[in-house]
Amino acid sequence: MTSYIIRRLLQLVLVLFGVTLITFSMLKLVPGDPAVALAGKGASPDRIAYVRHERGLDRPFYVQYYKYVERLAHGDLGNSLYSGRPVAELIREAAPVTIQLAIAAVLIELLGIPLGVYSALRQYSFWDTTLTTGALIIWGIPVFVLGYFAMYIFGLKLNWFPIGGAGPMILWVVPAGFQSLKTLVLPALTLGLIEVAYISYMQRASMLEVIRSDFIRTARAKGLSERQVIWGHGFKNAVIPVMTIAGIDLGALIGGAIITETVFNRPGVGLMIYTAINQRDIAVIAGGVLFATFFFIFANLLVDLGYAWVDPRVRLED
Amino acid sequence: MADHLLDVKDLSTYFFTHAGVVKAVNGVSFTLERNETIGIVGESGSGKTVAAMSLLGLIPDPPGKVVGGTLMLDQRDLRTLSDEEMRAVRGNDIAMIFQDPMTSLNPVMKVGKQVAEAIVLHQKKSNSEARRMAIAALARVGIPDAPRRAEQYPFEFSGGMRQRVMIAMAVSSNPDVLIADEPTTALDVTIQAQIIDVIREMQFEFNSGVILITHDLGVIAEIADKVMVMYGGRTVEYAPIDEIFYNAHHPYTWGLLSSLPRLDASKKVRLTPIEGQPPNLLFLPEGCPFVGRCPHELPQCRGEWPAEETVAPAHGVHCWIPVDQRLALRAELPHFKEPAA
Repeated sequence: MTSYIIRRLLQLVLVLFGVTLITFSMLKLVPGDPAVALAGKGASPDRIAYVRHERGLDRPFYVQYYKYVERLAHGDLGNSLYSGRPVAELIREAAPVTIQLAIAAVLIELLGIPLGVYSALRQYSFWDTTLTTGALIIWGIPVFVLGYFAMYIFGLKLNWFPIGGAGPMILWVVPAGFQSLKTLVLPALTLGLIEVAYISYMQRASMLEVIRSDFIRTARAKGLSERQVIWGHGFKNAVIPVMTIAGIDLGALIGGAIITETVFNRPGVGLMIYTAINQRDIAVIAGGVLFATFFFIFANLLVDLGYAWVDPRVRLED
Repeated sequence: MADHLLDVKDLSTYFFTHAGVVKAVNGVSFTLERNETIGIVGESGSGKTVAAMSLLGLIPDPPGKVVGGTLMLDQRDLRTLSDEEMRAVRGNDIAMIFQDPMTSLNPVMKVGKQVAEAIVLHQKKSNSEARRMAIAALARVGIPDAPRRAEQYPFEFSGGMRQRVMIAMAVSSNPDVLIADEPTTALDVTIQAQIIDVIREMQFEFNSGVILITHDLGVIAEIADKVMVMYGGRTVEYAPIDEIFYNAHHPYTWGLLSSLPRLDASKKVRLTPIEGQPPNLLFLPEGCPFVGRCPHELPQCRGEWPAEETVAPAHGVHCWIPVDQRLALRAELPHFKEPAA
């Protein structure tokens, strides 16, 4: 298990190298000469040349990239072209809002596992049909449609929850108080419900496959009770593929968080990136993308470690 | 009535599907004693496995159902037992070894635990005691270094070793009846013999009756005391082992024997396959299921299922062809000509 973790961490370094290369290229590939922009309007060619040299913009690509990574390592993501504030600071403010939403959505998403198992064990029953149909419908609704729908009914008509914003937090991401929690409910449900639908559907399919497999027959032939057969032998096998899907799905969750934050006007990284795109604020976009990627990779690592913990075959494969 | 360890009478198991009723097992009877081995032979779909699963009460219901017959195990009719009583029988009084050891073990559970599970369940042992007994069981079926191997997962075992684990699991509670469903089909030829030996050793150690399901007459010849030949859910012939090989009476049994190579045959004799495909169990004829493929078919074969005819002690056959004609037909077959010629 230890060697598996070490191997995974080494892979992580490679991925981070790739990601920083891409975000750096993003910064470099935007049209227009940054030296001209930095020197200000009507600057003399000498002045522009001076700025270019002073900022190191005339050095080779790999040197600039090295400097960029060095600055990243010191937590310097550059400054916003729009407000002039450090991007790192903007992310520090926005990250808890997004992470809070993501965690809440994952917690809701986990409900899909028992729902899927329930459906599978009562295949073709009334509740199975209802849950499966419901899951397919919800799965087909785009996040922003579901979001506006929820906002209209529960926010404007019923007035149960606020329709936007985010509340104060303690311990970095925990909502401080009831009001703060209320701002989280609608966005988290919007984002989480679609994931519940997806996960429950996958869990149902996986469970159905497992309960028809040979080793379940073996377990029954041993004389185990149906409960022991399903939970002792079936469940662990059935949850493995769902964990993989859920891990891959974290990427979709971040994409969904960006849209959800925009819909609900939550001041998280998603809304920050959305605003930055509108303002052509490339430094903020690059910083936001870098953050989202970090988050995705980290979450995936956790899933993979969990996967190795559940499935002994993963640990020994090279 | 003589007391048998297992006495199956007129077992019928049907599957009620949308397309119609599948008569997978249709009035099958046999008996089994301690230390005795019965071989059930037949092609895929002949009802061998369904008959065994019926004994264990493991027919998925719906769509399947044991619709008739009595299954007496030591004076108890298994069909009258409650679900809970039946669970106490499974893995304890009757245990089963399955065909494919690669998929029949739980991939994410240590093998020692998989064996110990049955011991905890049926013998009411503590976990540590069961673990110790599981290791002993693994060692008994010939798994070297059992204490270490018990801590490993199925994917760390070869096919033959996994089948040994299955056997250890099955015999861990000293079953009266051990059902082995094609236990060697998925294995190498060299490993097959070893697995058959292990099954036989376990049989002698525990005085179990063994039901060996297979399509391999070679395996049958090696281990069985008597043979039941199944076709299309019916027993077509039932006889002691030597009778099947030297005095077979049913055209289907002849077909099985003729498709086997013989070491003593001259090189000129070709193996004769049985023409055609096994019948669709949805559309079985009223009479003998072998009609259509049987080279000696008579008009009455399609009408009614023939009654059992005893042709020798403990040797029964269901066939419309009169016995003298049958013997004449058999004498013409290349398989039975050699090596007398």
